Amino acid sequence: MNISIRKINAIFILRLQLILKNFSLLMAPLMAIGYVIAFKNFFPSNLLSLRALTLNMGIILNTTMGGIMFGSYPIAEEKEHHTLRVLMTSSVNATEYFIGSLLPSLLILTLVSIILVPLSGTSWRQVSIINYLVITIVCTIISILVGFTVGIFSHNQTSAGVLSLLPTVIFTFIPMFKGFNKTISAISDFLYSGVIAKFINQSLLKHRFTWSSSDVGVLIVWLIIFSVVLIYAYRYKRFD
Amino acid sequence: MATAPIIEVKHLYKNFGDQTALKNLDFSIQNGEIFGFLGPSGAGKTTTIKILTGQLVANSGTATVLGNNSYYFKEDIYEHIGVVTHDSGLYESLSAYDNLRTFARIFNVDKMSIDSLLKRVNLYNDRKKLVKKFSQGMKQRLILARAILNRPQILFLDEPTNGIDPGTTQKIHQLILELKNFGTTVFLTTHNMNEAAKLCDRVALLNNGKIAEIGSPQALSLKYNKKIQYKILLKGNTVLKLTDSDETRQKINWWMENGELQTIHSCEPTLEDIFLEVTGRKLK
Repeated sequence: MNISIRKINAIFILRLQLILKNFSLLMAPLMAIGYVIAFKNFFPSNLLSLRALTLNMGIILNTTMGGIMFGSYPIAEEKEHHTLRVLMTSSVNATEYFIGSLLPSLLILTLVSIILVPLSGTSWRQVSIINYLVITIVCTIISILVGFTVGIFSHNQTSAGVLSLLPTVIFTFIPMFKGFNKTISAISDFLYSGVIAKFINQSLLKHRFTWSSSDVGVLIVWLIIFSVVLIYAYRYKRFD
Repeated sequence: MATAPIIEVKHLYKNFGDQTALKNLDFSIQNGEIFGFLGPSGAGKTTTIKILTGQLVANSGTATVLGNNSYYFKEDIYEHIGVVTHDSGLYESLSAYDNLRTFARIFNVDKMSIDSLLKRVNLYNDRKKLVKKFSQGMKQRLILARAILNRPQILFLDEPTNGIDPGTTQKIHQLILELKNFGTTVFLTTHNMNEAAKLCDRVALLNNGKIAEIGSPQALSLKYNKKIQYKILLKGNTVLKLTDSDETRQKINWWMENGELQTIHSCEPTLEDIFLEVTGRKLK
């Protein structure tokens, strides 16, 4: 299969234009920003545990809920408005479409992840920017892949919302509430979004995050799982 | 020497469950032709277009477009064909210009072509308007403009004027004829016999998934003109319908010599009449 950079660029610009005009899609990153600002102002404490909780919730909302929404809704919307078929009969192949759709979503969600750190009152001295970018980018990509799979099985935006619910609850809320229960905490360690929670907690509360083989393994395994799931979902369902 | 057909369909069958949508379709289309696929709803017109454009797989038989079997179509083929189906969508939150700009990027078409194309479909003044504010006719013209942006060798049009006002229909007809003059082959499905007679070089009459008749509208008209008749208007608004005979010809001569004859028309069957005769059912 040939991949054309020109066509990926065309889809990238198209998706960027559509995302920026779609307020309901922007709700997840805006909610993350609003949540972090509100929490910081309502609880103006220097307690690191509170700051870690605030930042964790903001980033997980953005990368996980945002990623799943950014992946699923546009495909569902294109199906609903019969534009996906037009793209496919205009010489764009599925790989070009997926890459062109992934990149603007990744760009916007990564920019929001970056600004969440200063907004939460956290200094970049406390968080390694390289590790932060690696973890948030990989987690956002996995979430978008989940969203793409949901989009493939959705007929319209309403069904995308319904089908997104379960993965959103699992990958967003389990790591968010890992501090409340040991079982939830144990499950969270096996989720890709759990690595974010672990990274923020260790960076702020223990002042140091070191990569463990389980963190790397969790991210790689989820990335492979959802890449394979997406490929099979597309082969099975295409864009019908 | 005859050139190879640009579209060739052989023994094409398509089933949806127990329903047979296409039964042994066989036809070919030459380069530069406007070929009409005429039939009522459910005859198999859209199914045929979807198979020809690689969106649907036939159960048996072959459909070859530009020398490529549609079953094995690769994306590149779509750089040479344009497709307009009744569910072709537009990006409604974007302007008309941005809709075309996206596809100009995909096809690597110079952005200067967008303005000239918008002028051709009479949408230049509305180019910055969001598509969601467009009327149905404007949307259909924009869809057509998008389909011809890459100057396709073949244009597939699935009922392009269905539900469109007469003014827009006329503009679309004009554009289709212009495309023919530029050498584009047009595969047009319609249930509008006037449209088919006006635009098509040849038509196939499709009924229940089978081609009932194929040929040029004029040839079909003459073939089924078994009872030659004339419709005559005489002075004093007398309208007569006379069957061809020596007596009728003498009468016509006499009326002409004496200045009695106002109008005279031959009464060949329309495509609708032919369809009714061949299939026993009406087009709509």
